Amino acid sequence: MVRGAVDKEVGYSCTYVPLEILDSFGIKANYVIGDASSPDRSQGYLSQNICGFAKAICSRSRDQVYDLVLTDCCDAMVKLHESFHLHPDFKDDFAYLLTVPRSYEELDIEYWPKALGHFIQTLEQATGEAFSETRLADSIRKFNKLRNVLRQAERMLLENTIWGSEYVKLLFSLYDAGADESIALAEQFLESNRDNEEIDVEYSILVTGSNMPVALSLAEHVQECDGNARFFDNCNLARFYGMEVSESRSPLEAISEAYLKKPPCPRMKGSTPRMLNLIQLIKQYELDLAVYHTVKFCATHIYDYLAFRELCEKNDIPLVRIETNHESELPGQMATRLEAALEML
Amino acid sequence: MLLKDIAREMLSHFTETRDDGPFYKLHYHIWKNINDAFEGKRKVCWQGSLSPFELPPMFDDMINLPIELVISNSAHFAKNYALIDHGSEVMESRDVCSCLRGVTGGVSTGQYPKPDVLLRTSHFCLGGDKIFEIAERKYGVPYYLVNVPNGDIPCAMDYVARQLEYIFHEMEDYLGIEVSQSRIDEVYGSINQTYSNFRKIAALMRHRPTPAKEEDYWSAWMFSFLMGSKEAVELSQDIIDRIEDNIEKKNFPVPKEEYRILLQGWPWIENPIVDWIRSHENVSVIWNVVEYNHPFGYMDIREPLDPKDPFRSLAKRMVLHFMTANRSPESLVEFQYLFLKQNDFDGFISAGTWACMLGMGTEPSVKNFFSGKNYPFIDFGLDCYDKRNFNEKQVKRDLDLFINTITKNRRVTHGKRRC
Repeated sequence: MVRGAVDKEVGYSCTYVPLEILDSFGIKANYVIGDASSPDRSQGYLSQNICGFAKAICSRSRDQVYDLVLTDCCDAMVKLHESFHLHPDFKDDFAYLLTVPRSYEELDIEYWPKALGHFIQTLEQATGEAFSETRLADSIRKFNKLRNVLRQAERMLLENTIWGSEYVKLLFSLYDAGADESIALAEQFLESNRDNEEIDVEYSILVTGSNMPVALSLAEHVQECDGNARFFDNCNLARFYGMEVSESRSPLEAISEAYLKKPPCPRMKGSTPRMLNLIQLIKQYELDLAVYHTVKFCATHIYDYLAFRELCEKNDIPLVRIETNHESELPGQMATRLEAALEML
Repeated sequence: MLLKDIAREMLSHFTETRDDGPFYKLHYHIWKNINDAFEGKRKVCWQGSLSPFELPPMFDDMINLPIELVISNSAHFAKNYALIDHGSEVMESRDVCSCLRGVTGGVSTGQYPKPDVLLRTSHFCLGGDKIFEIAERKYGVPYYLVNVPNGDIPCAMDYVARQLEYIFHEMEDYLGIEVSQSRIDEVYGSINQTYSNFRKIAALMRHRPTPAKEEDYWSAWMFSFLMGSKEAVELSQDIIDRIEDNIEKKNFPVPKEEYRILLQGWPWIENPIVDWIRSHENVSVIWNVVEYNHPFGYMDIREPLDPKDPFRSLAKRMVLHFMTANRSPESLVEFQYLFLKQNDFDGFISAGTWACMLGMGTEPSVKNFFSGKNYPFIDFGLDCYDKRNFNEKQVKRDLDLFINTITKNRRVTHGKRRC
């Protein structure tokens, strides 16, 4: 599973990667989002019919020679991990595939610490450093603080006192910032927006679906249409901080429980609770439109969309689907579709 | 045409042809099961590939219904197009493989036989898992998902065994069936006998010229779904008898065999590759799926199932499957390479399905692996479920070129086969 020694900086791609563990080894974890608009360097490694996110991670890890911690969150990520092991171009890179149960029953929560133990052992071998439970407890406290601050920023967005684009910019700025700097940036953001008044807009929307480098472009576009994007249920946005790890239990058990029981992302069996939560938010904050984003070839979210569409229909919530190749600029056709959906309201 | 009408038509076709060999007989049994499911004659368990198909037969001979297989087998006579097209409409997308779209079409229109339970594993095709969730909501029946982690994780075996035991007892409660030890003995006994037959088939398969028609080997793949039944034992024995008889009488389908090629993918009876094979007098092609749940894939690692320790031994089979063990891509591709060498193949055709992440995701890296070994390999972006998505002439032309590559490769290696 491991090639070479891990750098003190790794890329990760999934909100189920326990960042606390990496941090406890002094490893800075950067969220590898990539962008389909950047040159595609995945062609020699991956099929072209694989999702843009996997291709973007592959390209970026080639550009910046990133070591990677992936999860088996979907077939594309498993295949990406495979290509890292198969192709000699990656022979010196560290690429670890963390298995994450797809359900969150008692048996799964009990089991996952053992899988995390394997991850820890691998990091010990790769870094030459011994694992410390005390350092892990410190890291848990640190990330709890970060998530707590981000939830406050989310609250501001839901209460419509900040623009969606500002919130997205904040989140984007944390991808490469490391935990301590992220806390500082997020606290600064809260401070500078604390006394904001409610923004007056015509439309409010909720965004959900696949990973979304296009979130900023979309939020800005909505803003131009006299609207505000007020919730982003995406892997690279709100799904990142939706959990609180207990500080009073054994650290690995606490991580297992918190991560597996966070609002289940579409790769989990039974992601309905997450969707019901979204419906609840739409009603509570009187949002006008739900936007579902899918990345081309992302089967996970294409299926998740079917379930979400059913719930929206049941609750009389207007829904529009947009699709991208995982680029950061909202494609013209999608912008038009979004405008049309807003006009229909 | 509705799925149940397709099933009836397919059963009628294979009832007429079942004496033509194990392939046809096997299809007959599979379609008979599907028809039984439609008629509500037995309980039905929807399954996915790599599922623990050993469990359902214990419950009053419940039918293992592989819903993807229904779509792929309907592709034999291009019967599945309406379902695929309907799936695309429901999903508002064509960006998943035709198989998943076909299954989605079938599930969303309620055309499949109603399931009593749903059973899948976590390590094969997430799209398929999501379809089961749709079915769970639609039919209000339990969906059991077995999480199968990497084989090198401590306690993986224990974790899977505990899940299986839990699911087994949940199924007993839900279905109101208490499974006796003698039934477990009977089902595992039948499965062990079938595996033992597969090992014999694998050994016989090494004979050159290839001693049986391509479809006889392909039949073995689909036995997974008849596992635990007396038909599986009989049919696998039929294949052995047929191959042994051919060897004894020197009755080889391609007597002047010069090339033996492994075809990985999902072929159907009428397709350009089959037409191409049959138009060449010197080429044998063995259909196989060296990945996924092909029984041949189990042979080197499988121990007999132990009815006295049913969950742990089944967990071992699942965790140590080469698709799972360490989830190491080396193990998969190296397994394929070893398989090719052991069975004296001259080349490897991978006919993947468009947009299938599992089948095609790393194709460029796989190609690079075989190229590094100087081993003839070609990948086709065929659509094994929907013939409308590729050009037949182009496929045949590529196959001719592939044979030239093998010939050239032989010249380079002074006539010695690479394997």
